[in-house]
Formats: sequence, C-alpha cells, structure tokens
Amino acid sequence: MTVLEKAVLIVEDEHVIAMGLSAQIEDMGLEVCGTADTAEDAVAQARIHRPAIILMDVRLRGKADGVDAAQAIYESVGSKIIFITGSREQQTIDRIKLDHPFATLFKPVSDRQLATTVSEAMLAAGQA
Amino acid sequence: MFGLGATCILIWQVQSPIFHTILDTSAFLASGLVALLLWDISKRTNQPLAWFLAIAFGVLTMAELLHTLIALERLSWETAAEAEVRWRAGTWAPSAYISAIGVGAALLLRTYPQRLGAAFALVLILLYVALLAIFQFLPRYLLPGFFGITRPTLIGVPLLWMAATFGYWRLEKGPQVASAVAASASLMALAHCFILFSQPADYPSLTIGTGMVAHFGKVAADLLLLLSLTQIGAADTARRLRAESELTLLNKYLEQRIGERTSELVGANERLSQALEERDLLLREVYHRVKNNLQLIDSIVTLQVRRLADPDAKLALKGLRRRLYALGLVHQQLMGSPDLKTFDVSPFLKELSENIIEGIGGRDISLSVKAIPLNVGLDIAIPLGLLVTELVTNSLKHAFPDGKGKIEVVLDRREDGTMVLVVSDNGTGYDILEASEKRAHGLGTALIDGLVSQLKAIIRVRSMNGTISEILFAHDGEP
Repeated sequence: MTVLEKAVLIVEDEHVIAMGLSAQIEDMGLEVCGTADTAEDAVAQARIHRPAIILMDVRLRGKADGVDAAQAIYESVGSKIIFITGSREQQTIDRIKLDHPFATLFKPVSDRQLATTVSEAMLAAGQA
Repeated sequence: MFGLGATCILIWQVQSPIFHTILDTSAFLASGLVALLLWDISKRTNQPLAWFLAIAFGVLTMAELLHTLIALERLSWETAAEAEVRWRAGTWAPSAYISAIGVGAALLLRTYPQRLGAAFALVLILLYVALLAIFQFLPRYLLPGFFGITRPTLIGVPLLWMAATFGYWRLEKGPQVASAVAASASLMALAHCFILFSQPADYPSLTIGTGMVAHFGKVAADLLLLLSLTQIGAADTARRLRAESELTLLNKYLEQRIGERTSELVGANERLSQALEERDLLLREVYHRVKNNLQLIDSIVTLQVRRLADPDAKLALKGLRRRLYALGLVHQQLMGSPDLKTFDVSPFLKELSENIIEGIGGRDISLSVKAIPLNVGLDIAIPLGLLVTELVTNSLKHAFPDGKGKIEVVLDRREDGTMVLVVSDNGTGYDILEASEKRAHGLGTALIDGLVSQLKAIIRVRSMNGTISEILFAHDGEP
C-alpha cells in the first residue's frame, strides 16, 4: 500500500456542516482535500486523493451510507476513518464496528474531541 | 298390588309351609338388597341416615335369615306342626321388633357421625338376641281375645312402624331416602296388623291366611323400598350425567372463550409493541434532527468566527458554541437512553465540564466532577447543563489570572431530599462591588438568573478561598 497524503476528506451530506468541519480541520493546520455527500463520491474521491484521514458521516444521500463507503475505502485505499454520527443507536454502532473504524464520534463533536482524534489518527497513519 | 295379593290369599286361604318359606326367603333377600343399596347410597352421598338405615336392614337381614332357616330343620322329637309353632312363630317376633326399632333408631341417629355405626350394629344385635331369648318364654298363640287378636305379644310392632312412618314423614326437606322409608314403613305397619290375627295350621278358623298376608306385606314393603331406592340411585346417576355433560359443554365454551381472548390479547399486544416501536423510531428521528440542526448552527457559527476580526465578537460566538454544545450533548444522551426520555446526569456533567475546560482552560486547570447518579428528563437536564456551562466558564474566565487552579463540580442530594449543585474554584474570589457591577451587564449572569428561576432553585454565591456557587433545587427522583 502506497503512502497516503497528509490530508483529510470530509464525507457529510449537510454541506454547511461539511464547511464547518473543513474550517475546524484547517484551524488545526491540516489540509482538506475534498468533501463528498454520497457514498459513491466519497469512494471516488478517496481513490483520487488518497487522504490519510476521512471524516465519515453515517447518513448520506443516496442508497449507500457511510458504513458502505468506509468498507470500500478500507479495502482499496486504507485511510483512517473517523465516523461522525448523529445516531447513538446500538444497531448503527454495531454496523460501524464491522468497518474497522479508527474512532467513532457522536454529534455534537467538540473542537477538542475532533482535534485529539484527528491528531491521533495522523500519528497512526504515520503522518504526524 | 299388596291389596290384590292379600285378598287372593284370604279368599283361597293359602297357608302352606312351602309358600311360607318362599315368602320368608323373599323377605330375607329383599331386606338384604335394601341394606346393600342403602350402604351404596351412604357411600356416594355421605348421608348418615342412609348409613344407619343400612345397618338396621343389615341386622334385619340376619334375623330374617335365621327365621327362614330355622323352619327348615327341626329337632328330632318335634312334629312339623310343633316346629312351626316353636321356631317359626318364635323367631318372627324378634325380627319384627328389631326391624321397627332399627329403622326408628336410624331416624334418631341421623345427625350423629357415621363412625357410631359399629356401636349401633352391636346394640341392635344384642337387642335381637335378648328379644329372641325373651320371646322363647312368651306364648306364641292365644285363643282369640280382645278384637279377636291371637298374638297380643306382637301388638307393639305395628305401633312402632306407625311411629316410624310418622317420624320419617315429618322429616321435611330431608333426604329422599326418608320419604321412601316413610312409604315403606306405612305398609310395614299395615302388614304387621295382619299378623296379630294369625293362627297355627291346626286352629280351624275364618282368619286362616292372615299370617301369609303379613309375610306378603312385609316383602311388598321391602320391595317398595327397594324400588324407591333404585329410583333415587337412577335419578342421581341421571343428574350426574346431565351435570357432567353440562360441565363438558361449559368447559368447551370456556376453552373457546379463552382462546378468543388470548388471540385478542396477542393481537392487541402486537399492535401496542408496534406502536411503541414506531414511537421510539419517531423520537430517535426527532432527536437526530435536533442534533443535526444544532450541529448546523454550530458550523455556521464556526464559519462566522473565522470571518470576524473583533476579539470580543469572536469570544461572544465561542460562548454561543459552548451553549450549543451543552444542548447537543443533552440530546445525544437522550438518544442513547433505553426509554428515550431520561438519562443519568452524572456522566453528562463530567463530559460537559471537561469539554469546557479543555476548550478554554489550557492544561493547568484541574477538574473534579463528583455527581451522584440521577435520572433526569429534558426539563432538568437542559437548565442544569447550561448552568454548569455558565458557572464553569465564569470560573475559567475570572478566577485564575495565572492560568493555574482547580475547579470542582458536585451534584448531591441533601438529607431533606433537596438536590444541590456546587461549582467551586480555588481562584481569586470576587469583590462584591465588582460582582454587582458585572451582574448588571454580563450575559452569563443573566442566563444564570433565568435558569435558576426556571428550576425554581435558590442560588448562593460565596467568596471563600475562591468562589463557591451553590444551587438548591427540588427533584423527587422522578424525572
């Protein structure tokens, strides 16, 4: 597996939230390589940009959700995936766990939670 | 039937030893059957009267057997006629008396427990033996005397039977057996009137055959009782069969009703749990939307902060984000709770406080959160979360000029049941004048006042080795 880029891909179907997350990531001094609002788009962008980290919402537009996208990306790219979900249902959490997530954050995500998790993920990806 | 038979006997003057033996045997068999039937009825219905009657008839059956057998054998020196008089006539009287006495005594004993039966049987047998002995010394026959009576020693028997008839007749609402005995006893009384006029074969007289009429009457009375008792048994059986079939029908009906009700309940249960699932789904969806919208607002605020140059404005918006976070965290807890209505406030307070400290405090502020487990709903959780946010923020902003210190958040229940929330720091404390100045202008203190009044709480703020804010509010444990 080739070395990944020190960048973050944001997958979130609410564009304003995606913008907010981008701002938070940039404030941490990291690059946002793109945003996607469907699972297909997310997989495609992940393959193009090969980001070290992906912030992944579970609910997305279209049929496939963030868990499906994460599965595909984990197999083909190997990015560290941080789930950001609004749901705390056990069913969703169990599905996420199958997908080798690096971490799962529950909305609302505080600045410090995001910052800590992202820097840990970068460290794990060998990009610190 | 008895009338017809009696008339025939009297007209043809039937009085042969063979006929006599046939009637004696019939009386023995009939009373034996009566005893067995009564015994059976007493076992089935547990009636003491039937039980004592069964004993009376059982003793009578033995007496009748003796009366029948004794005539068949005679002592060698006796002529047949002598034996007739000596033994046949001699054993008639004891059995006639013992049957009337036994049936009457059974009536008197009817309220006593059945375990007296053995004693009753013994008394009757002893009485019979005594009577047997006494009547061996009394003359069997006399010349016709008062009213032409030839056997005055037997005059007590019809009288006893009349008394028994009257007694059983009087037993109103008593067991069916009693009325059957009454009818039979009246016939016994009549039959034993005839025996008073009987004579031995060698007494030529117009009243030949009266002895046979008496025997015949006795058998008829036994048979009448037998018939009545059989009818009672048959009626019992019919009643029981009817009751059983009714019970079976009722059981079937009940089973059917239970089946119907069960399936109704199962259906209702399914509908109810479906409705509950739908409610849960809907609530989760609502909480999800609320959180998403809060996140949306938070994102907008985040974006706005980046475009502002004014540090005061930036600070104000950061304050707004802290408050939004508190609201979002409440909904996050709610979504994770089993009933979707309440959650334990203690981990929530910990997470909330930590987030605020790390957001603005830096690494030199230590935090301790000691909260007892307390289940709360939205009504308490939101004001409580916002209050902690404001108080912890205040301490962070004002208490530690050098950036070092300690903040404590405590939630506890006092002995009187009141809840107390304490937020304290070991910082600089405050100056009263300065504080009242701030009260007039600060958004934080205005919010605190509003939230305190919403909780119907009391707030006490003291400056003692730092600032201690104490909020007392009522919470009965039921969210």
